[in-house]
Amino acid sequence: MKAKFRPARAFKTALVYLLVLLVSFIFAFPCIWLVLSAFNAEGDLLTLDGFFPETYSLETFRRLFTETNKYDYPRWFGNTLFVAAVSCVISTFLVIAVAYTISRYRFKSRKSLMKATLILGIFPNFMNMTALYVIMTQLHLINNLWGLILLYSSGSAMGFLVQKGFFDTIPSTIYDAATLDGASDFRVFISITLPLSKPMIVYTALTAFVWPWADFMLPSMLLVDKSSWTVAVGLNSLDDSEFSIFAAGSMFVAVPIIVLYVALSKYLIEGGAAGAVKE
Amino acid sequence: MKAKTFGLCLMAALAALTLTACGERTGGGTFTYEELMAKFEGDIEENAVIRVLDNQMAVETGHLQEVLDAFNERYAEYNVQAVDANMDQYVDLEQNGPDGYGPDVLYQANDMLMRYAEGGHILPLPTEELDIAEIPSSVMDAYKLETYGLDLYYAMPVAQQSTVLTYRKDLLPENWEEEWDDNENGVPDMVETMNGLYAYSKQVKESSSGSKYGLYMSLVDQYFNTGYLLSYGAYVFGETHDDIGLAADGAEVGLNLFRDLAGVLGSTCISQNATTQAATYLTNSAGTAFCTIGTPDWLTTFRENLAATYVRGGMSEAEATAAAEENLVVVAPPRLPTDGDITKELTDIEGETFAPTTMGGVNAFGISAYTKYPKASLAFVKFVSEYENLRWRCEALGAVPARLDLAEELGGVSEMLSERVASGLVYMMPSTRDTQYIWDPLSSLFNDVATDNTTRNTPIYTTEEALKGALEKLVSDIRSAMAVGNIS
Amino acid sequence: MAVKQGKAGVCSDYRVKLSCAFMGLGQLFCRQFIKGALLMLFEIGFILFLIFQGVENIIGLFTLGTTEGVPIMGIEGDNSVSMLAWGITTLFFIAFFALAYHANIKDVIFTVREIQKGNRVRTFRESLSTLLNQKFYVLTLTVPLVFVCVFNVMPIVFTALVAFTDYGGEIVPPRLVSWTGLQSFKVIFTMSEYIGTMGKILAWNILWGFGSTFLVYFGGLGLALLYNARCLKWKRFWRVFPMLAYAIPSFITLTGFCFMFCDSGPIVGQLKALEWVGETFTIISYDSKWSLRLLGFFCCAWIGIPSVMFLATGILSNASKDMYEAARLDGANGFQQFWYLTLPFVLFATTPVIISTFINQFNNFSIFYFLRPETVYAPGYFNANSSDLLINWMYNLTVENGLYSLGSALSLILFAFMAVFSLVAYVTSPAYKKEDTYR
Repeated sequence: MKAKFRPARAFKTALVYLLVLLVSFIFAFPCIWLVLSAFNAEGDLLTLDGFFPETYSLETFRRLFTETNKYDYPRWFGNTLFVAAVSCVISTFLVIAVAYTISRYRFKSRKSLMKATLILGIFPNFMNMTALYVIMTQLHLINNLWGLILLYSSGSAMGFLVQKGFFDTIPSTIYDAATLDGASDFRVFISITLPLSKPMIVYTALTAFVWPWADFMLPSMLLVDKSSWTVAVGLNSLDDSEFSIFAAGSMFVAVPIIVLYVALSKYLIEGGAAGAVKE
Repeated sequence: MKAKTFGLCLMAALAALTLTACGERTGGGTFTYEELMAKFEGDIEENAVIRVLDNQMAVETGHLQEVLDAFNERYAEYNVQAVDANMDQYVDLEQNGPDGYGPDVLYQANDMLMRYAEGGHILPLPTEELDIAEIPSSVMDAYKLETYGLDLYYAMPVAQQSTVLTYRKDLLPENWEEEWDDNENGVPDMVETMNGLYAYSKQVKESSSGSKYGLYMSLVDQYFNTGYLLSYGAYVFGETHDDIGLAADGAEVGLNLFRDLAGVLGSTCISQNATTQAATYLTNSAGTAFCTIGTPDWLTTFRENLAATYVRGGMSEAEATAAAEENLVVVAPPRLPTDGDITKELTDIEGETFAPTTMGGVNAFGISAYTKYPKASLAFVKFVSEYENLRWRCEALGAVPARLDLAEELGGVSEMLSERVASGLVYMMPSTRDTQYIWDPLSSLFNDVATDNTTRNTPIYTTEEALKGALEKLVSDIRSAMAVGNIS
Repeated sequence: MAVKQGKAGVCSDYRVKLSCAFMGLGQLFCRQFIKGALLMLFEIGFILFLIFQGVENIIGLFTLGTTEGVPIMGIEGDNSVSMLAWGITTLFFIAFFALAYHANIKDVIFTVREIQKGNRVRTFRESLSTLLNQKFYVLTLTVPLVFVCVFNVMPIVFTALVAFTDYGGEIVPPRLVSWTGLQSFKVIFTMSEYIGTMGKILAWNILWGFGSTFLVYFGGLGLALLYNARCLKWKRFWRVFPMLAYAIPSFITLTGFCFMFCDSGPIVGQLKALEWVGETFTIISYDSKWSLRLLGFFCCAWIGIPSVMFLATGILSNASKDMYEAARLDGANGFQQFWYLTLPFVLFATTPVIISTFINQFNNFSIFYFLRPETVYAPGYFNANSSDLLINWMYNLTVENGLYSLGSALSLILFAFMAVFSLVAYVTSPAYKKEDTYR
């Protein structure tokens, strides 16, 4: 039997593809526009011919990395990478530890801890900006990248609920068996929980990396000295006539994240969903 | 149990009360001139590290680094290290200073520096040690503040900031001598009067269908545009700060002039970016803009950009530099029509126009009160205000010196602006904390009025009353901002 | 009854009393020498801290400084703001000490009871190994808890307290700050500029909160369903596009959009060139209200939809296939399947996501901060513009204009609003009702 041609189904397929194409265009176009602007020979926004530059050149990229007395991009990039990488490691460790603990142990203040986290979560992050600035001055952590790392790590510790949701899905029978075998809780965590939660760890690490990588508010508040600036602060300090510098600088920020996300998209989808789903 | 809790609360409340009561506060006391200046006496500190905050141009052109090197070399025996503070040029000393993150020496305009002076964040300087004989007293007064009953000066003025017009000679129409020089004085009308500039801008815009500009500048820049109000009788503060004169009689004429101007510049100029955009437009190969109105030190940037454009066009480095220098001309801001109507054609230029008043300021070096090395910082301020070093700075950065003798020697723009200052055509922005409250409302006003004649579908500022109303609102906004600043 | 008696018996034990009097003393008499010594050291340390610093800090919290500094004379006075910070820190220390004290008494009661039962007293090594096992949570939670206290709770307390002072405007260090009670709230609620601005901004903020949450949530859901369609090939490839939006840092996206839609940008330019719009057309301008707000919705959707989409994709893949099979057998069509199966399932699973999306959108600072990059204040708004959300207004007040106490008072009001909303939402959500707690 041959498959019959069904107009309704064909129409639906066409519609789906049309929609998908449209959506893809909406998402891709600004990105393409930004990338091409980076190659604009003239360097500023208004020299675009319609949407795209008249002449293309690599000049912007040369300037981005050489004119360091105007914008010390290599340094900003190094700072950002340092902050993001270190906070990623610390945050992942903290978040996983907290989430595991809250999910696995039953102790008296457990529920009040979770409720407190929820309430704290309502506070917008930078409502505390002034206070954070004062605290950081008292700790002598202004202009200090470690200060930022501390803030990101402690901030991310609050976001353990997704990971906790994931750990909830690991059946407790596994734990019971291991505990009967005489393994200490610490060993159980290392040898059983961690290997089981690879997608979750990847997800956590990724989100923990991206926040400091892309954040603007905290560094703009706490980094006074230009040599300690991160890319977000630096790029935002540029004049608007430097649009192609902005675009070029942005590329180096966005591309690694995009590559990471695309490569790890499986974990991202699994991880996010696992944490959110309530059984 | 309840009684116990209650008792504890009562005790805590009582303790709190007594604690608050015993907090008798003591003021700072009063000091004599000698006491205030004692910190500057003696040899400069050994191994001092002083962070110097200069403006962005000085940093970008490398001038600051050269000055720092020269200074460090001169004071090598003390092992002084003057370094670039490496902060944003508008960094707030009030916020960063008390915690020790501010610069030691800072170069800012008089409204900022004197705001710090009023808050006690910068040091009064020993004027007897500074070379101020050649600086006009009107300029020095911008840095005077009565403290402990003494007239103290808080910074060393270096450069005048005022408004000039910069245009590109090669973009003048070929026949300008016949068509655009009604009074036959050899100065093109479009850079001599606002009426000429208006007419020319309109012509350029229409003939290029909007892709080119005659005048290109930011319509929301408070600093430059306030000049139109000041020229027709407005002032910022009167005897007291309760008297805000920005809505004084005549100001609406200036505002209407501004509105007409906005109409020809268009909505792309309603943006702070337009200020930096001008540097590109004035110097690109297409010649997008014919002229701009700004501060004199921009000339350095314009020349660099234009030279770069010429190099890209195939000229050699030296030719390009010479051509750029030749091509960019700086003149005084255009004369304004007495009746405020820039749309009409003038018949008698001298009789129908007058030289405008513009907002001005003085940039100076001040010393943070939180510096650990007041003597080394003072040494640096003295160093940069030496005659030779001032000339160095002015030449490198295109700054207009505050010193009269230097202005005379440099001639050109410097001399022209000094004359304008001397004849009272430069309105010094008030050196007081309250000045900070005028900028945002002014910016909003200019935004509002410029939008009215560009992108607004139903314009509202078409009558004198409406314009007056906008100015009244401006004053009341400034008043509210001041009131809130004082309550909080 | 027996238990109670037992407790009374334990409590009257001299070792318990000793531990009540001084931490660790009772433990010493229970022959737990190391633990006892450590606890005593802890209390001694705390007392020393109180004597040398703590009492002063607490007094400072009440007075906020007594001597004004004169920086130009190098006279360092009291810094009210740091005194406030240290005062709060000291209160935290005291609270922590109280907790430790409580734990110490509980510990000695436990030990004494064990002794009374005739059991052997735990050695220090055994106590340590308990820490690794039953009390593993103490070990893992302490560090994050301290972090959160210092960098999240303390700033909140600080902000809350600042609302009751006159900090800000002209009163910044070296000048002394003082407690002014409800002054800031009075200013907000009585000065016509404030109350008018707040009304307008709050109304827009609520509209924005619900509108953008709706848009992002259902947009994400719709997109997930679209990309899940059986007839779509190369799903992984198509998903890369929303992934782009998901991955690019929002400050870049928003600055890019701002350039794209500004008066000198390509969109307005092209529209004018095509003569689809008049010469006065503008999207981002001084008094553009709805055009910028709509652009805000668009950007918010562009940035926010992908994350919801990926979440929903994950959830959809968890949905039971049997359920759909049964539905198909019962003759349910595609729409019915969606309406009666998919939607309730996804809605139920993602209630917390909706609520957190709402909170994030309600406080979405960056959208209008980057889309309207210049600080201009619209008529009828005080220190704000028509597209600003409360959070942008707060930023203008504190960071741009240094009106800290007013900003703090405002943020307390904002918090009260959010807290009420979130609590109501949580309590009425199906997830909460069913599970009795949010997990």
